[in-house]
Amino acid sequence: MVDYIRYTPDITNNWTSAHKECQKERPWAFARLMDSFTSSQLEGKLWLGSEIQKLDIKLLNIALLGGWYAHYITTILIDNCAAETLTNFEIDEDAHYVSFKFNRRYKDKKQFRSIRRNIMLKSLKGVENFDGYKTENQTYETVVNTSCEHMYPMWKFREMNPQLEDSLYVLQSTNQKEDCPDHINTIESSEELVDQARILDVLFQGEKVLRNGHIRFMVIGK
Amino acid sequence: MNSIYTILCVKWGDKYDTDYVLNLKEQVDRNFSLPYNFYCLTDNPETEYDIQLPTDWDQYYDSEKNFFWAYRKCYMFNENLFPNELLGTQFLYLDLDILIHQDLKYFFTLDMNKPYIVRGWWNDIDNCRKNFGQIKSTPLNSSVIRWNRGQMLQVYDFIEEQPEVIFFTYRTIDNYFNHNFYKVWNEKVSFFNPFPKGDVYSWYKGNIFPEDMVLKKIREDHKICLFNNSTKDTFEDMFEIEELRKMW
Repeated sequence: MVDYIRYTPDITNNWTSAHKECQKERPWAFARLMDSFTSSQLEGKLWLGSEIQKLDIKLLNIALLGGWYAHYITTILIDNCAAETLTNFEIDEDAHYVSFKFNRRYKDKKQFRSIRRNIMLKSLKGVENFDGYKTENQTYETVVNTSCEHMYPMWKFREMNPQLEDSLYVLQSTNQKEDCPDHINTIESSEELVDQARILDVLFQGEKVLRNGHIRFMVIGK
Repeated sequence: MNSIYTILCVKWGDKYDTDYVLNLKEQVDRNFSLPYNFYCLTDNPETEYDIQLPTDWDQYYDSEKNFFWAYRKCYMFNENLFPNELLGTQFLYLDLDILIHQDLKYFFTLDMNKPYIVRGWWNDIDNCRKNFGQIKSTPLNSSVIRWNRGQMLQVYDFIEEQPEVIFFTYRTIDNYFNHNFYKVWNEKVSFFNPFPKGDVYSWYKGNIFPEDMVLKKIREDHKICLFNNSTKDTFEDMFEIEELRKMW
């Protein structure tokens, strides 16, 4: 069960710096950064960590799609779920840079990096690995996307990335529409998420009502 | 006319009637001191300057989701779609709901190392950066675009490669441009050049943030005034605006 984040001195160093630097260097992004710290954001990520622990999955190297500031999720996946590395693919330049600040402790150990990319319009082929070499066939054992509601259905990503056909997919989405014009792909059931991603081997699917009153759906499978 | 200079507009549906096209053409006649070709890409060709719009992308269009997605403009960026109709090598696209103040010759004297688009200087760029991930608050405005033949082909090709994703993701053409052909964090290295401050302003949004944001003010020392009625909640006929009557 993952029901909290271990708030260590390293974390507080990184997170305090991230907040300060965002406020100083990217003040326009600060309100959005605060949006990423809601209780519902944390609930969703803790739930993800718990289900991964229950399944006793070896995550190894993770591609995190649209990971935003990637503070909670990186901490949970590396500290609680023993992931080896995590690469955040993020379209927003502010989030991309600030995610480095939040995860400096992992970056220094070559466990975290962020790459700016619109993953629905450009495949992950040709991305440098952690050692700086570009390869067409770099694979990630696990693909995590906790923001499927923000993008085109995941079958497209899988079609564009055949090198990830054997990867495990951990996906979340929501039914939350109101006040969220950027939620361009809301769903009403976990089954819909399975269909959208064309998951054939479902290890987990479920839903959870978060504190904001909206339903979070999750699917884990291949 | 067979000139190297071409003025283009696009009209589809019934939002704007043919008076808007005629008005634009008359304004161009009055405000362009070089010989030029004039074409209107339309779903309903009626005059000698009308060219039939393709319909290839209509299959991806969802009227509820894509209401403001003026994708039909993007056909003109592949000039080869109109091999015997679209003459000229230097193009200036103009929306139908604009007011031209000065000689359009200016737009054909720009250094064309890159195509030009309206950078809405009335936008707070910090707000555009803040909302980038939410696919809103674009600083770009596609009401006036200047390019040389072939320069905009990749904008067309990009849609052609993945139309279902593009149509699903973007509600407006300006957001499509902003996400894929502009860099709000480093505007100088974008695919587009912005028309400089003082060229184009907006009737409803102002001129330059934050120092000149007076709305509904004529600025005759600028080149073009935009109305952008199509995304407003309540449509206002620009020909009926009292302050503008003397301008037509």
